[in-house]
Amino acid sequence: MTDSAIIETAGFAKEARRLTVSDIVRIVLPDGTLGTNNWDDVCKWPPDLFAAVAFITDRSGLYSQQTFAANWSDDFGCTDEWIERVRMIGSEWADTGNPPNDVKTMWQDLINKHGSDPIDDPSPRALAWKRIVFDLLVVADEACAGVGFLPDTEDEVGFFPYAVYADYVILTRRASEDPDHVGGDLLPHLPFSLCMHVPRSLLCVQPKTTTPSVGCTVRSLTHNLALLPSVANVRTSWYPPYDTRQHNEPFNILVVPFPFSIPGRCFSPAPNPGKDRDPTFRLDPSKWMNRDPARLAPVSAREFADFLCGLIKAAGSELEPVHAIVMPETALHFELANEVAEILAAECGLDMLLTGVVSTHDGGRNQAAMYHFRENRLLQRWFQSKHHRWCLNGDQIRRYHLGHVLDPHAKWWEHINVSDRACYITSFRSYATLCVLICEDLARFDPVLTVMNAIGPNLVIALLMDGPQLEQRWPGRYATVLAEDPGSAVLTVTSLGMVDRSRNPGDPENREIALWKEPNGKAQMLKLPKGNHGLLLSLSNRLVEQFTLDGRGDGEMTMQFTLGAAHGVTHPDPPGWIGQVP
Amino acid sequence: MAVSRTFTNLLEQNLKKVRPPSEYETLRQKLMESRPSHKATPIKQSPENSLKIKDRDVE
Repeated sequence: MTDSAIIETAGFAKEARRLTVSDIVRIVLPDGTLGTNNWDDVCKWPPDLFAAVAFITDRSGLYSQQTFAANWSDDFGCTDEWIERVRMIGSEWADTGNPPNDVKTMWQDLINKHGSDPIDDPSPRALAWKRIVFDLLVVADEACAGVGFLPDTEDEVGFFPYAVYADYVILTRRASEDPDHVGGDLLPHLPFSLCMHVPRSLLCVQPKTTTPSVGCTVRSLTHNLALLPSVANVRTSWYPPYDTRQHNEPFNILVVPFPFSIPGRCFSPAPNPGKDRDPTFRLDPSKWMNRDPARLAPVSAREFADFLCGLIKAAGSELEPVHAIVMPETALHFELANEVAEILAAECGLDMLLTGVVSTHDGGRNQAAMYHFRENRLLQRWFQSKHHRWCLNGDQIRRYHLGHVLDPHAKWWEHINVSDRACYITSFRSYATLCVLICEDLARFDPVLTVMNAIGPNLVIALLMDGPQLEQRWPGRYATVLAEDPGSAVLTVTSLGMVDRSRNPGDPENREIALWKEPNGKAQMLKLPKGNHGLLLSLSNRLVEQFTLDGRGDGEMTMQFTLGAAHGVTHPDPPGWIGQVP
Repeated sequence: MAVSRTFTNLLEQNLKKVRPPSEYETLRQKLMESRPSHKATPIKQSPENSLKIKDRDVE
């Protein structure tokens, strides 16, 4: 029997419909390029054009072809002349705010001559439309240089960075009254997407800060714009920096590995979900807040804030100022964290507080809480829920000596709500961004790491409830992955309490409460010196040049962080409720 | 995520410090004409993120 006979027998007499260039354009821009149900004219807004051509680029995989990705190949098209040309067209669009004639012509050629071409065509014939798509992608990216930030310059600012920043002013004015508000005047999907006519439920476009220097993906092709999934999948929020000055001074972080001890009863079984289902457990920070057996009163926000302020003051003998305090996963209850943040904002001159919190809302959430301050006022506050539940198996239950509270024969799932997936990008310096991951999320690729890879935050902080931060353990391995691609500096932070629970009685103490990994650098395990309460890290920064796969540099606009110094910090008069610090 | 009025004021001040692009208003107006006529639906965030920030003495 011949192949064709088999197909006919199976009832597939006709060839399956193949998605074409026009199909994709109409999916990404369902109301037309300008919202008029027409696709003949090119988009006026570069992120809309970027969304359409980046989606085609991604789905067709065209970027892997020799002409775009192999500079030794005879048919490599990304020559110096080509770079000069696409840069010139992109700059013209950025300067005038209008799509240049070259862009209009390329778009018309794409739609009129290649609209019916299938996007999965690997033949040389398809290179004609692939080259147009590639050129449009690069031009849209070049036109958006600086978007998401505002340059500190005396020159005229480019149209798109200015228009986007101005729309953020409108958005934040509305969002300060209603935190659920979406959209500025021009851009209806801010802060989730820069697009105007692309539905946020299909895909989003955001600014980006790092271009991967390894691999061959659609992410390797752009310096300024990132293609992201639908908000229904994972919602990324980008807000521009409030401080647009170029900073050269180090960014100083005080890591407080609280709690310093964790009693086993902090882990408790949640009500049994029923026969034949895995049991679940809850974590209760109130059981580790007060470790003084003689004290009955709960620890107040005032007391906790005073403890942190005491550490900031103690750190001052080595360096000033402390810009940020970081505490591990689930360190505090949500309500207490909010009150502590209010006090720190008013009294400590901090830029930010980042801590893990446990919230009882929505059936229980494990969140990273970020409080961003300026001149003793709270500017921004966000809570990013953990995306993946911790699963405590028998090995882990035994490692953390929890067998008396959780049956090691069962698999125990963390009893938390993981819906409402979000990833917040905090711009904390001019051209520098920070993202946060919570424990398990560092190791699970979908969906949050896809966002991390696309945006390329300059600094990633992972809040963990984990054992010692050793390079060979899982946090070290996954931090290395992020440091390579997209090229972020990564800091993992756990509590001394969990580090201490992970050793057998009588074994030598582990003190590795944090791990630092920077691009092109060795992982550094950071130990808390005996009797200390915090670790002061000073991150130096420098601007470096990164290159896209096609060879375009970013003009040294990428900020890279390096660990410049680490010092132990001891509270001069530690309160009794923190317990014995090993 | 919640933002404060202080944050808005800082962004606004930054914008006032720089030189806007020439013909900014004309170009923006043109873009406004092609903006979708419908408003984007608000996204209900988790209860923690929906809490408004109380501003102290914002001028």
